[in-house]
Amino acid sequence: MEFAARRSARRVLANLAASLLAGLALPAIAAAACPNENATPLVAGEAAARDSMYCLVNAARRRAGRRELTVNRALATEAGKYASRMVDERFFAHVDPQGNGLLDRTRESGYLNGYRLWALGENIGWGAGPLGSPKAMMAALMDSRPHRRNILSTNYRNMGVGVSTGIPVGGRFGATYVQEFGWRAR
Amino acid sequence: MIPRSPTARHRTGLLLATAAASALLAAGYPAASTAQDPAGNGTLVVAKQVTGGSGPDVGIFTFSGSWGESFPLSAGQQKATLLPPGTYTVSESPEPGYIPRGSSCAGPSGTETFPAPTATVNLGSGQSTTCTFTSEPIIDIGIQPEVTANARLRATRSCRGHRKLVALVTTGSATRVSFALNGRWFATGRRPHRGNTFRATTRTGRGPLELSARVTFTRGSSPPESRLTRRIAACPSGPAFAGGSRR
Repeated sequence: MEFAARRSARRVLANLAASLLAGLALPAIAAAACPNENATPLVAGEAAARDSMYCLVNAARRRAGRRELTVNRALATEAGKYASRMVDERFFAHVDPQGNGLLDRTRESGYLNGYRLWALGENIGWGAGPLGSPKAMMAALMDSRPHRRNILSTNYRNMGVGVSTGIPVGGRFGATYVQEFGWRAR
Repeated sequence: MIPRSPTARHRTGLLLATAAASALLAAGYPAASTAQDPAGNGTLVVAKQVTGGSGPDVGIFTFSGSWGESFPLSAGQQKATLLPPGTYTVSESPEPGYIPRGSSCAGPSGTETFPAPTATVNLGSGQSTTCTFTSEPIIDIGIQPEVTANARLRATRSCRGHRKLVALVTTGSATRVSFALNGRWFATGRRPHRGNTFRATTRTGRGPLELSARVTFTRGSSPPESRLTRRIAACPSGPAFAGGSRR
């Protein structure tokens, strides 16, 4: 009787080589900031803030030794729509006023079409004024254990980020973020 | 209403802290209509600050003075008004997303702090008092723990001599999988064999099998656990397949 949990020797060697390379390049990576990470979407634009958030999430994953997540268009579209809805309709929750949750929204986006196995997670956040920058939002998320777990989870392969100028409590001086995480298999 | 004197704009208006403020002046920002003879007036300066930053994206805050004027200020801006000696109150309207952290007024007699976003000032003749209103931006976050589909259980049964069963559970977020054969637990794994697949093997007889797996997902997942069962038919009767040993 054997429970095969060990990784293959090839994979271990590959990880070792990657770690050594990462170690050599670490000072440069750690010092590099993501573009527009300190700019709020009101100044830099929502697209710039979104790209900055992708960069920050993958930088955090690299630092933790995790595989980077690839951007998925369906998840990104879903995240963008949901961020805008929270601002426009003034709610801040994982379930919208109509009772639709993350799974309903992700199904509607098409991300799960044709897949029998999947895992999903979601972080949402808003920050007023200077706290609406991607870096401030990412810092708040990483300071919270369950949010950090979503960001660094090895269960996900894809992500989508949505950014909307404005905050769900009213007012346009701030930004609202949605991070969708996903994995799927047939 | 007291007519505005030719020098009113010089006596009342925004101090230029940002380009936005100067634009307000250029657009003819209304001067205080209560301006009196400059000789006996005092100066009340209202300043706004936000913890963590200033700039055009930080917000516009609305103030109202007991002398009958309302005016907006952004973080880093201030507004000076010439007023006759007397007691004045300045209040700040609530701004969504910000917590008012009180105000403080500094004048000739010292500094007075107010816990509420309202300040009261006794302005003397020829004196200058600066009231600074502070706000703190809010950040709020929410978490949706992992949502998972049920895991998928597969099994391969060999009917050759060794009669081995290979059981596989594929899932996105399992942390622990336990396998049972005909109601008897025979393996538990906490790490996936490869990717997202947990694997276990055991010897079997030739008869029908009932394979079960109990899957525990990542903490916070919904559902937290899943139980899967799969029935496997008995090996075909007759001689074993070629290559298998006969017993």
